[in-house]
Parts: sequence; structure tokens; C-alpha cells
Amino acid sequence: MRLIFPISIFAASICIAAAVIMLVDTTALTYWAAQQQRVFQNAMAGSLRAIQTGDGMALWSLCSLTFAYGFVHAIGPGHGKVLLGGAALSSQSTLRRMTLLTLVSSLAQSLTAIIIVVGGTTLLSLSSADAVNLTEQWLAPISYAAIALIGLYLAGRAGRQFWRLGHSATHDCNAACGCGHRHGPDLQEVDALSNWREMVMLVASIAIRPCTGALFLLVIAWRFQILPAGVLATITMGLGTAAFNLFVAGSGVGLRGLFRGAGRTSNGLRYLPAALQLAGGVLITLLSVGMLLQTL
Amino acid sequence: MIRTLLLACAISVFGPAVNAHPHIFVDADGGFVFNEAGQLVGVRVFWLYDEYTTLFLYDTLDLDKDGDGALNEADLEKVRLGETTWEPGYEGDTHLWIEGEKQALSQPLASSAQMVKGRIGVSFELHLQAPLDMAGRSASLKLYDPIYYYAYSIPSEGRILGNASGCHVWVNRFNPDGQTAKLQKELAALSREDMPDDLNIGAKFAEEIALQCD
Repeated sequence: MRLIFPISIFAASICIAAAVIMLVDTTALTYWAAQQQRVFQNAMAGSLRAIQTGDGMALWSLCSLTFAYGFVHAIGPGHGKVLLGGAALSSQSTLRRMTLLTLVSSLAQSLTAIIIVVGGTTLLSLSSADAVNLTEQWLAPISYAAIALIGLYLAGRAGRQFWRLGHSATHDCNAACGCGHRHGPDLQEVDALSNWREMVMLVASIAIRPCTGALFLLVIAWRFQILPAGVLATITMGLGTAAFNLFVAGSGVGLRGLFRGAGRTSNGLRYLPAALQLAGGVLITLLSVGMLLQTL
Repeated sequence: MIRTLLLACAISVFGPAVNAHPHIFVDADGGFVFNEAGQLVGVRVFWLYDEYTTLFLYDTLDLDKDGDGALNEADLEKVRLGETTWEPGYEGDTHLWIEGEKQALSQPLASSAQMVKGRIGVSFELHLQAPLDMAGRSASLKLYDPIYYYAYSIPSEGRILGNASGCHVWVNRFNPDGQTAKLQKELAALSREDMPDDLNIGAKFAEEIALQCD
């Protein structure tokens, strides 16, 4: 039964994800990350005060601190690593393309923070507390929902491939019918995220929700009349986030390679890209729906 | 096996452990407040914000208008009001159980605000519906934000305020390894059909101030 292969790939991906989540003690990890973040935050407060009093060197320490903060903070949810990891697993994207997507989405996230604080408070006369509420209560759920939709889209796309495969397999195809059925989706077909529209969707779903830590940073910097320093430090924070997400996206690409290596020994190879995409899509959807439920 | 894995998957997806993200750090302390007659009237809570949040509060509460970095009396009054005027339904992240029973507490009373080494601090009391004789009883006070946006930690040993005889107080701290054991127990319990009822992320990290009276 050919379907056993894709089904087992699908189940294996889900189980590996569950096992990783279980093995990595998320409670201790989260606690650890929170403690690190606290240390960085306090140091950032010190640097901001130093910059205000005219210490030019403090800008360098602030930027290194926000980079580290962005990295540690990305271990928490909401910075697109679910989507980036899942997309790396399920699309045919090269490591180079995933790197680019990760960088762009993290920097776009920084840009959103800058737009919300600078634009929101000047154009819409939001208070800084409103800006944070907007982010936590609206933009975060919207971002999770958008990411869940992309997950569904990937899964749906994979489902169509399966249907087509199943269809062509039951068909006795001979030369006379000239049906031109293909015996497996070619890579181009399964390759989600290859056109710019899909890539923009991916970046936007992540970038729509800025990091609250970046909002705090910009608000404080503005208050201290050192906004340019705040903007620069927000960008390095985005780079720190990107650095962590690169690990996740890279692991996704690597895991896909492993599956492909295993699949080569079996005749089910042609189902593999679609099976991976289904697993990636379902994982993205489940995780982001879980996070969405918690924010509502 | 597959069932356990699926449940593990469900708990990791819908459970809280994968989703925690504090932004505001508070060094907290809690004291059990007793009256002259030796009855428990409520708890006193101390919050000391981290330096970063303190700077953010400068903006949200519009403090330090003269820009000298220091807070004057009017600023501190703004802090006090801002921190102790609560929206309906907000419990101040203060959760008190007596003999295992969750207590309804008052709005903040006897509040004050101060600046401690560049950090904003507030303190207030929350009272029980009626004073309670604690002889032979125990109480548990936890300070946590259910969604873990605020991360509270308790560096002190807890306090007893007022006339309490025969009572002692101590703090049960968060211990990641202990939590791991708890999580494993929860997962083991899953095969017995039930989901853990405490899917509350903040509570997982909460430190407990415990009171025991003879």
C-alpha cells in the first residue's frame, strides 16, 4: 500500500516534533530564557541612561545587548520560528532562501515596532501604553491567525498533490491514452514559497506583530530624546532574533534532508515532498492555533 | 505508545510550556497581616519593578516632567494611583488560599509608592472579607500573572505583620527540576484519561509564601 509511506512520514514528523518538545524541558528553558532576558533588560536600562548623559560608547553596548536580547527572546513564542521552521521543512526552499526570508522577516518585525511607536504616537496620537496593548491584544492574535492560515494553505496544497498522485496511480496509463499523467508531483509543484507573493505573505504574517521589548526600547529612547539610538538598537534586536530563527530554519532544512535520505531507499520517494509539506503545514497550524487560543 | 505521544503532542501544543513570554519583571514580597486580636486580616504585597520597566513607566505615567531623573511627591502619587486603581476582575496577580480554599480579596488599601535605587516600587494591602482566626490553619500566597506577561520572583523570606503568635512563614521557591518532575507526573497522568486542570503558565513559575499557625 503506497499510502503507508507518506502516512508514516507524516506521523513520524509529528511524533519527532512532540518528542523534541518533551525532551527539551520547555519549562526550565522558558524560565532560563526569562531570567536571561531580565538581566539584558536591566543592562539595557543602564545603557539608555548612559547614552542620555552623553556617553557615546554606550550605544555600542546597547546594540550588543539588544542583539543578545533578541536572540534569547526569540526562544519564546511569537517570533515566527514555528512558521520559519515549518516552512523550511515543508517547502523545497534552499537554505539560502530560508536565510533570506528569516532575515527579512525579523528586520520587518523591527520596522513594524518603529512604525507603531513613531507613526502611532505622532499620527494617531496613541499613548505608549496603547501601542503595547495594540500589539499584545490585536497584532499578536492576528499574526498567529495569519500563520495558521499559511499552515493550512501548505497542508491543503499537499493534500491536492496526494489526490493527484492517488488519481494517477489508479489509472492504468498506457501510451494510447496519451494522458500525460505524471507519476509524482515535480519539485516545482510542491515548492511553496517560491513566488514572491507567497514570500511576502510569510514575511508579513511574522512582521505584523512587533516585539514588545522593542516597543519599550523605542518608547524609552524617545522619552530620553535619543530616538535614533533606539531605532538602531531595535534593528540589532531584529538581527539577534534572526540569528536564533536561522537555527530553527536551518534545522528544518536539515531535517528535510534527513527524511529525503531515508526515503531514497524506498520506492515511496515520489510522495515525500508532499508528505513533508503536509506534516509541516499541520504542525504550523496546530502550534499557531494553540498560541492563538492562549491570547484570546 | 502512540496514544501517549499524541497526548504529549496535544499538551505541548495547547499546554502552556511552549508559550511563555514575560516582559515585565517584578521583585515581589508578601506579608500576612494580623490585627490586634491576632486574627488574619489580609496580605500586604510589595512590588519592585525592574529598571527597564521603571523607565517605561516614566513614559506611560508621564513622570519626571522636569527631566532630572528623580521622582517628586506628585510623581509618586501618580504611580500609587496608577498601580492601585484596578479594572474590574483584576486580582492584582495576588492569589491567596486558606486551608486550600481560594479567598476573595478587597481592592488595594493603605497603598504607597516609592523609588528604590532607580526602581519604582509600590506596596498595598488586600483584605479578606472578614478577619480570620488562623489557629491550626495554613495559608498559601502566590503572586503570579496567569499569562506570565509579568514575571514575579520573591527574593525575600516572606513576612508576618502585626500580632501573630505561633505562626511561621517561609517561601517555596520555583525549582526547574521539581517542575520537570511535576510535568512528567502530569504526562503520566494523561494515560489515565485526564488532562491536567492547571494549564496556567504563570502558576507554573509561581513561588509560594506559606504560612502555618499552631
